[in-house]
Formats: sequence, C-alpha cells, structure tokens
Amino acid sequence: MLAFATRSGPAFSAGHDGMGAMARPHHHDPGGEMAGMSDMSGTAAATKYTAARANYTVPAVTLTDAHGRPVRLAQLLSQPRPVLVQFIFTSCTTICPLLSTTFSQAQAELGRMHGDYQLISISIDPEYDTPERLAAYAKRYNAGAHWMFLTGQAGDVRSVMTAFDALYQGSNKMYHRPLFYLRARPDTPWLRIEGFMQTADLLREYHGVLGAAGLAVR
Amino acid sequence: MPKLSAFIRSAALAAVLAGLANPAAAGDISSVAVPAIHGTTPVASIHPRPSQSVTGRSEPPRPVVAKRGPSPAGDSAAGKRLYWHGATASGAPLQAAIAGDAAVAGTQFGCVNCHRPSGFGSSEGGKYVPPITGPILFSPRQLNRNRIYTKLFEEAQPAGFAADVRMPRMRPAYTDQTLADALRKGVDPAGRKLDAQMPRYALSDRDAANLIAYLKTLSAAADPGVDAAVIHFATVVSDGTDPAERAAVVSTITAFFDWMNRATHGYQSRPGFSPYHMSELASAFRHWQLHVWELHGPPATWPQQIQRQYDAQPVFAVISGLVHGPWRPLAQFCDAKHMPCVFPNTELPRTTNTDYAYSLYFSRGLTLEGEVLARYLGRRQPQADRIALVHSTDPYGTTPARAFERALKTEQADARIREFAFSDQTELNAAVRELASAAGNFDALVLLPGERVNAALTALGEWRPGIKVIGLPSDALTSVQPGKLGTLAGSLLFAYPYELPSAYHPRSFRVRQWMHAQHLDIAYPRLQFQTYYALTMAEFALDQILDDFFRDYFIEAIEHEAENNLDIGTHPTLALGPGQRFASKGAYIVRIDAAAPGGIRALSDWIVP
Repeated sequence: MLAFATRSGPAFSAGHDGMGAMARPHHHDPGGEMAGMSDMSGTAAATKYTAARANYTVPAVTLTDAHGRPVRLAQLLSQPRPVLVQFIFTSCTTICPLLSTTFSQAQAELGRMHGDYQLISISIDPEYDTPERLAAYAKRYNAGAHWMFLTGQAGDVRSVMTAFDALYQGSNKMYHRPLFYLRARPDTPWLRIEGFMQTADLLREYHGVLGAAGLAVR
Repeated sequence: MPKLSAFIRSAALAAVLAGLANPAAAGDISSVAVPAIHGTTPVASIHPRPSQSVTGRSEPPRPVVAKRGPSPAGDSAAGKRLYWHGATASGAPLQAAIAGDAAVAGTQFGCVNCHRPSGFGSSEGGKYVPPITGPILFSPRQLNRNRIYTKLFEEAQPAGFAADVRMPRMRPAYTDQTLADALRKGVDPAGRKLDAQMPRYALSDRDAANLIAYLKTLSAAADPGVDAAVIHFATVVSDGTDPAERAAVVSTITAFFDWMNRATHGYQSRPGFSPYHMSELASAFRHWQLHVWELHGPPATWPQQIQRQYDAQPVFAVISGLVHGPWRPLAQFCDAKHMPCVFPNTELPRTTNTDYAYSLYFSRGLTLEGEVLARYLGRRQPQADRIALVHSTDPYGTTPARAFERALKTEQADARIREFAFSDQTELNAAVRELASAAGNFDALVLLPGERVNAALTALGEWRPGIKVIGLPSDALTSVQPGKLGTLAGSLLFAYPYELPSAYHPRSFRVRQWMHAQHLDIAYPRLQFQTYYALTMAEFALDQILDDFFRDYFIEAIEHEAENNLDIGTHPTLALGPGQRFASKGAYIVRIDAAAPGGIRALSDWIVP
C-alpha cells in the first residue's frame, strides 16, 4: 500500500517564500496507516520522519556543478523528470553521510522504477565545497550519472535554502536539518521530508510521488 | 547569546578553592605527568592515511583499563586507521549497515565522521552522537549532566533532541567482548539496541581487536597545560614585526586574560564563594595563565626556541600571536605536539596538508590574494593575457607570485606571464622602469612587493608605467598615497580578503566597546579585532568542553563555535567545519575611491578561488 494514497487533502501551497506554514506535516507509517509516529518495532530507535507537500519558487540563480560548469537551477528543475533534492556539506559529520548514503543506495532502484530521474545535492558550505571537493564527495558515494552536486556563491545558495525553507537556526551550518525534497514533475508539488529515512522509505515515498502524478512506475 | 563564561570564570575560583580545601583531589589532576610522546612525535602524518604508518599520541598507547581477557592483542595504530579511514587490516572495504538497510562497503562510515577525532561525539541536525573515549566506554555509564549541559542549553536543536540527549542509557562498563558485540550487532552491554543511525559493522576479529585497542587510548591521557587550578596558554611574537602592532596584539591578549581572571577572582568576595546555580560546573573553572613566547632570528630556528619555552611550561594551546615570516615552522611544531594554535595573525599560513592539522587560520593569506588576483584578471573581459609579474624574492613576494601563476594557468591556459623577480631596490626600480618603457606590451601588471611595499609604490609613482591594470596585494592599501600617483591611482586594484568598510556587523560595536572599557587604545583595529576573535574562540570552546580538557575536543568545539554569531566584522563571514582550517575563504578586488566608505570600492563580488 502506498503511504501517499492514504493522505487526503489538497496540495498545500507554501507561497513564494517557501515557508511551510501552510503545509501540514504529519508523521506517517511505513505500513501505510496514519498511526502517528512510525516506531518500527524492528529497530531499536525508530526511523522517524515527517512529510508534507509544498510548492517552492526556485530563485533565478546560477550554481556550479562538480565539474565547475555553471548550472541554472531553475532551468534544471524545470525539466520534465522526477527530482530528489538534499542539502549537504562535504566536511559534515553526523547527518550528511546518512543523507548521501540514502541517495547512494537508492540510485539503482530509482533508475529501475522510472528510467529518468535527477538527484541533486546542494552544498550549504559553498565557499569550502569547491567543485573539486564535490567531485571527491561524489566519488565517495558512488554517484552515478543521474546525481548532480552543486555549489555556488554563498548568497545564491542561501537564497535557494530560503526558497526551500531549509534555513537552519543560528546561522550555523552545524545545526542544519535532515531534509529531502521529492517531486515528480515541474507542475506537481514537492514532497518535503524531514528526518532520517531508510533507503526503503525513500523509495516508497518516491513511488508514491510518481504514482500521485500519474507517472508509470515499474 | 548563550553564555557560560561568566560562570566558568567564577568556577575557576571555586576549583582553586576546592583544590586548597582538598589537596588530594587537586593532586589527582595536577600530578598527571605530561606524556613524553608530546615532545617526540614526528611531524609527518598527524592523522594517518591508510598507506602510512601511524604516528601520534596513540604510541605508545596508555591503556585505560588494565590487562583484559584473552582477546587477540589489538594493534592500536591499525585501529586508528580504521577509526579515521575505515581501513581494515585485510585491505578489504569496511562493510557497514545503517538504519536497517543493506550493508554498504566503503570509507564513509569511518568512526571519526560522527564520533570526531577526540571521541567525544557530536550533535548536529538533531542527532546526538554519544562520546566513546576510552575512559567512558570502559567504565559503567555514569550520569554526568555536564557532558550534556551545553548540548541542552547552548545549541539550537529541534524538538525531541533534548529528550534524546537526556536518555540515561545506563550500562555496565564495556569489555572487549561486549564492545565487539556492540560494533557488530548494535547491542550494548545492558542489552539495549543502539540508535538506528549507528552503523552495524561487519568486523573481523582482527579489526575488532585493533579498533578496541585504539579506543582504549582515545582521549585517555590528560593533555598538557592544565592542572586543577590553572590553564596555560601561550601567544607567539617574533622579531621583525612592527613593535607598535606587536604591543597592540599583546595588550589585547593581556587585557582579555585580566578580564577573564578578574571575573573569576571576583567571586572571592562572595559569601561561600558560590558560583550560584552553576556550582555543578565548578570543576571546569580555571585561571588563565598567559605566556608570551618571543622568537628571535630566522624562522627555521623557531621550533627549537619554542621547544625550550614549552619544556619550561607546557601550554594547552597557543592563541593568536604575530610573527614576521612563514607560519610553517610553527605549524609543524603545533602538529608535532598535537597542540591547537588558534588564529595567529599571519599572512603566510601553511596552506598544504591542512585538513585536521592543529593550526587554525583566518584565511590562506597571501596565497589567497595571489589566486584571487589571477581569478579576477583571468575572467576579465577583454581578457588580460599579456601579464607582467613583478615580485620580490622574499616569502611575502614569492608566495603570492607562485599562487598567482598557478591559478592563472587554470583560468587561462594561453596566458603569457613575463616574470621579474627582484631582491633589492635597484632591481625593483629597473623592473618598473623597463615596464614603463614597454607598457604597450602588457595588458596588466601584477606587483607583489613582499616586504618592499613602500619602495614599490615609490617606483610606481616615479615611472608611472602606462599599464591599464595594476594588481597589488592588500597590504599595499595602507601605504598607498594616491596623490603621489596621479592618474595611475585609477589603474590600481587590490586583493582585499576582508570585509568592506561599508558592511555592518553588530558584534564589532560590542567588541569596540569592550576595548574602550579595558582602556585599550584601538590603534590597529583589524589586528586587535582578529586577536579578540581568537580569544573568544578559546573562551567559548572551553565553555563547550567544560572539564574534558582534551586538545582535539577543544579544536572540535572551535570548529563548531566559529560560525556562532561571534563574527567581529573583519571578514564577511568566519566559519569552520569539521577538519576545516581557514575561517574565511575569499577576497574582493577593490580600487581606491575617496568618495566610498573607508576610501575603497569593490570592483568584484566576493571571489572564492
């Protein structure tokens, strides 16, 4: 059963500034029942995350990929393919390795489910994360052709984080939050997920996002 | 702003008093011998790469726990490679599974990623990673509010974090066997499952024994420079620095130490000497003792000079300082001692092999300036591809010159650089005169005068080479006199790795006010503000580590605090991350503009090469 299918209600619009105030976060259960926290009995500490739908207006910024090439973010995101976005920094301890491992492990299955897709990891420490460092990070996580790593001017990255309601508290990147953003097509809302997911959770959410958009899922 | 320091200072006194009242307790700490290894560790490989031999303070290990059971004898050096790089004894990739997922092989789950070099763990993004130092693992779990105090009250964290941190997780002491079980199966000796984010490692017996041997040594031996009452810090000043600048730096440091200690001693007048509700933190309080290490002669002789000072009184860390010449010999000393050297005032930091090294810097200095000049000229339209590079042969000239050449080649493979190196004023004058007579052959001149800034500006004023763009390092800005250059002044541009005068940094006002209150003459604002920043980093880092006086933990706390609203306005942002060693990463290109605030106007965005 798809978790997505159990959600009723409108696709929430989050307004131009991306603040998620109107989005309704809810805990949801990998089993598909809206039973609150998904304390999985199988693991000692449950994987807990919240998901909400939201619309974001992507700022007109040009970022830089791991090969040093300019990438217009709005153009990248306007392409008709599913996208999955996360914010990381390469010297990060604790949470980025978990976030990126989830992408890393999901790659093969994402390709199997729906041929074309785009993974995007955006550095929130752009002045340190040069394209060279991003390339090394990409290699560490066995990033394939569908996974893009972006850095850029600090102000541009900040505007992207603002747009995606990903600003952390206290202006200290060490307090950044584990966030994933999934979207099937440019004309469908984003699914914003906060928390740690197992790869299987990510794939299930992705499946749901594609299904809700009427995309064929293998 | 969360603030513990006032209480910490008061507690330093409490610690003194506790020591006086209970000499035996004080002796427990002060009698810890300085491990000899700190004086003898080779400079190379601070932290091992898998292919290198391991050196460092883990050799010889100082076991926390006396001899244990019959498990295979572990090699702590190999264990350190596993901890840092996920390098297994067999060379096979380390296998680990997280959050119930399938196992992945690779180095991304080396222990150091989350538990940090010190083993004291971390807290980021709402994830609490508990400490795994030798003494903590191999003792029964004890509830120590201080270990979680700053995480609870000084960090912005999401809901639920505090509850997670407060979980008691009581357990008996680990043994080799139960620790191996925990690493493999994720179950602690109390039978409790570890957090889902803790990877479950497929460790061979050999790897488990190696890692456990290393963990027994991790943050197990006290670091030098601290006793029950006093924490010793040094600052470094060398020959060749401007005496007035040196005095400004030292007087700022002295004023800060006095201020910290005055607050501490202030509690002497309080009935019962109580630091009020912070009495639990009394064990963290220390008197700050400053040692000014003066260096004479050539930089190559500095390490021996410092060694003598260090032998006389080891210090916990070096804070700030002002030297003339490359920082490299001192960086090597700091690395050999595993001793933090916190934000020295230097334009010549060591810029290679810096990740997880022991010197922290404001920026890459003149290397950065050379690269930013190259980036700006290399991307200018129309491109400047015929470039005259005039530089002195002292390190202040050659360092940015080499960086400029390297960076320009990556910007413009076909750029032509005509290089003029000068070692005295005659050669400098000859170079500038030659350029003036052949100005049409060049699109740009980059003049890196090293220690001969005034002579270079005089030569420019005298011959006024008609080259449209003349790039200079930032330290020429303070000496330039536009009136003596005529129209040439409009051609000059400068690398400027600092905040623009027009920017607004609220904390700079507070710092200025503090300096006034200490009766400090603010003659060299940038130098003194940078010095103040270095001091606050030490202050706030000690707030974080409380009485766990381990140098690696101290550096981790600085990495964490650097970005925490302590910006003093000298740079657009100051921030570090784990293993990062340069707090500011870029520079502007500016030109002289009498009408602009501070007399300079930015020609470029903040350039991060």
